[in-house]
Amino acid sequence: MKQTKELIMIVEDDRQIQDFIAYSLMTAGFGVLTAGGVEEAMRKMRSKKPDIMVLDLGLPDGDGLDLIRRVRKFSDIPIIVVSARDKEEDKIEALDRGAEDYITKPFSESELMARIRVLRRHLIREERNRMGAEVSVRGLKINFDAKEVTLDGNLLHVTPLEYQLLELLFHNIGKVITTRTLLDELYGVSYGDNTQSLRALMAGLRRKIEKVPGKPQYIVTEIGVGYRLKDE
Amino acid sequence: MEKYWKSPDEKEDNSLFYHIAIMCGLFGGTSLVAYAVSLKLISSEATIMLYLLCVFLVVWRTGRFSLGVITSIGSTMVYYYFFASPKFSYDMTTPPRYLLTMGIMISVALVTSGLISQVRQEALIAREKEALTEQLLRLNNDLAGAKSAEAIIGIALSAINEGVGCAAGYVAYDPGGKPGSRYIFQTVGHHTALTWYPMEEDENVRHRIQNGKTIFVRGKKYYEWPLRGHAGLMGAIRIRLAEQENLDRTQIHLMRSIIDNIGMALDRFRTAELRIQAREEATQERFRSTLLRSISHDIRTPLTSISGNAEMLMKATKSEDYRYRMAKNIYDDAQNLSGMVENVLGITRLESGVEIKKEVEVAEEVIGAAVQLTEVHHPEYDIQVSVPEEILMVPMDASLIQQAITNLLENAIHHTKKRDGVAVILERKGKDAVFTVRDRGMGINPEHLDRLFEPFYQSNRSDQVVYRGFGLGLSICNSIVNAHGGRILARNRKDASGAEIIFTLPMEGEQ
Repeated sequence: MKQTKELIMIVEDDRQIQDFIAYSLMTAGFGVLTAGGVEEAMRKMRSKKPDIMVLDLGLPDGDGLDLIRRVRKFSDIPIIVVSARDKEEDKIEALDRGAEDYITKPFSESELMARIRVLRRHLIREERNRMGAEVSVRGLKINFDAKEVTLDGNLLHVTPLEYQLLELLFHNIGKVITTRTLLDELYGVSYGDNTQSLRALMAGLRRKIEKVPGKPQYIVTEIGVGYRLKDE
Repeated sequence: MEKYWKSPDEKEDNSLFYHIAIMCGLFGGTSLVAYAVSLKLISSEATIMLYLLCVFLVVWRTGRFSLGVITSIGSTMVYYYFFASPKFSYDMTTPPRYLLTMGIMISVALVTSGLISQVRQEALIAREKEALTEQLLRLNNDLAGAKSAEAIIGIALSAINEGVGCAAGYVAYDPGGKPGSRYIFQTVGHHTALTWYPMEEDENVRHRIQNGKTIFVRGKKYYEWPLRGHAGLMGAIRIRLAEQENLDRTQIHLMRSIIDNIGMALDRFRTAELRIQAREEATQERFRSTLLRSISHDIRTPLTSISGNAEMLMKATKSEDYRYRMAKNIYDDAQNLSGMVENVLGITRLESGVEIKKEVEVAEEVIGAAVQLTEVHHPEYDIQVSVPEEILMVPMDASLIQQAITNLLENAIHHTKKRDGVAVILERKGKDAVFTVRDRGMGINPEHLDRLFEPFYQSNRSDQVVYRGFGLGLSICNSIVNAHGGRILARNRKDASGAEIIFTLPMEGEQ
């Protein structure tokens, strides 16, 4: 484990959780910075310039959602939101405001580390300035130049809309994409609410790529939030 | 207290002496006028008409037929002696003329007295009615201003005492229809003071009142007038046997009116009380949900840190180290506890009557999400999933159904050791999407199949052991499925050992 890994800021007012997250991250070799509230987080954002932020939405001196808005004015720092399970609206709101991903309380160390790894890979890709022409995950491969999808080496016949959907998922591999974002990208903002079309499109695509459509290995559903292409 | 009941005013002097004076006055007056008229006019017919008028006036003023008859006889005699020819003597040759005149006059007296007495009777009734209405109105006003049920009863008992003239008491009935253990009765010789008496044990008043078809019921010591409201019997007004038996029709009528008014006032009062109670309950319910929510939130945070730290300890120890097992136990229990918290929250949400938000979802997607979540917590299991080729679109609250399926899967895993022993099957049957969660465990004791979906706190102590592990999980599944208009049942598998829980969701909802 090299000490050159990213600096991660934990914005969390509960000391025990702060400790647990900090310890997990330090064990994995990340640099750790903690903040107990909105204002402290803003100060440290400017002075220490962390690379990734883990943000609990319920903070004593302000709204976590508000912090995202303020941070986004000057920084693209990837943000992982920590939220309770029954607060879907908050999660979507946070993602819409520019958070990269979310994790639900109570979460495990392995879940958190998986999310961080995904963000880290995206950071590295961004530094290299683009994804390769080809990306593959467990046998499912997409070629952005040829606009082709193969599964275990066999060419898949996908419709243009299905391809577009896969492309979006591959671009955000490992991260959740909200239903709203997918609808806007696939059908256009003015098209209105097309959730059912999207669900049907997804079900059709799963029948092509998943062995058991009821137990997807590639594209998983985040109930009430959106979809995620699993990358590990 | 103001006096409620007054009999109609009786200013007129109705004595016989006064009436005879009136008669004499009128008769004298008429004779004077008749004399004056006879000086100018010869016509004796006009004179007889004057006496006829006199008879009419006498009966009209006095209302006495007897005085009318006397006036008739007097008039006939005076007329035939002074005015008819031959004057100052009676012409005895034509006796039928006297008799005819007298007969006509008496008939006039008779008819007039009949009419008069009828008119007087009606006027009297009208005045009584008016007085009764006014008095009831006053009673009603007082009742409307009453601030408590006790005040209503107090006003009512005084009204009976003053209006009907007998002492009264009251027995209250509880909402279940049972008479109270004591009753109040007006203190002897003091109509505004009330005294409590113990209820007689031997008298089942309610039974009598329920069976009594009449408006009041005779007891051993009292008559009871039941007070009925919307919700049934509220209480009874008691009157002493002797006093009740002496009541005349008017008094009974009055009693009835008073009883009706008290009944209405008491009913209004009880309805208002019920409304206040309902409002208080709603407030309490809101408070309860808020409390549960914040408790749940406050439990989640430490649970995250407990399970997280336990996980870190697991990573820091080797799996054969006993400390690893200790950390693992902490981790597992924290996970179970957090599942419980989610279920308590879910139940609270469903029971607080919040309308569930249904959207058309792809059923297999929700199954996939539930399976994924369960396998994260139980990586040692490989849950089997089977869905039809057809894409089933079902209106539902996806996060609730995901919670239901997750609970069923947790439950199945709890009863199965086999790695691939748990399966979820989705099928379509007619207009229903049918979800089945199966395990390969020991199955369920048939005696418990019916009670499986009851929350654990409803089963008795010995059953708690049996239901351990089911806990709230199945109960909330039941609530969730019911809220969606679906059905849920548990049974033992026929093809293998193990249990299966099946629930249906209608595919054509109110979308």
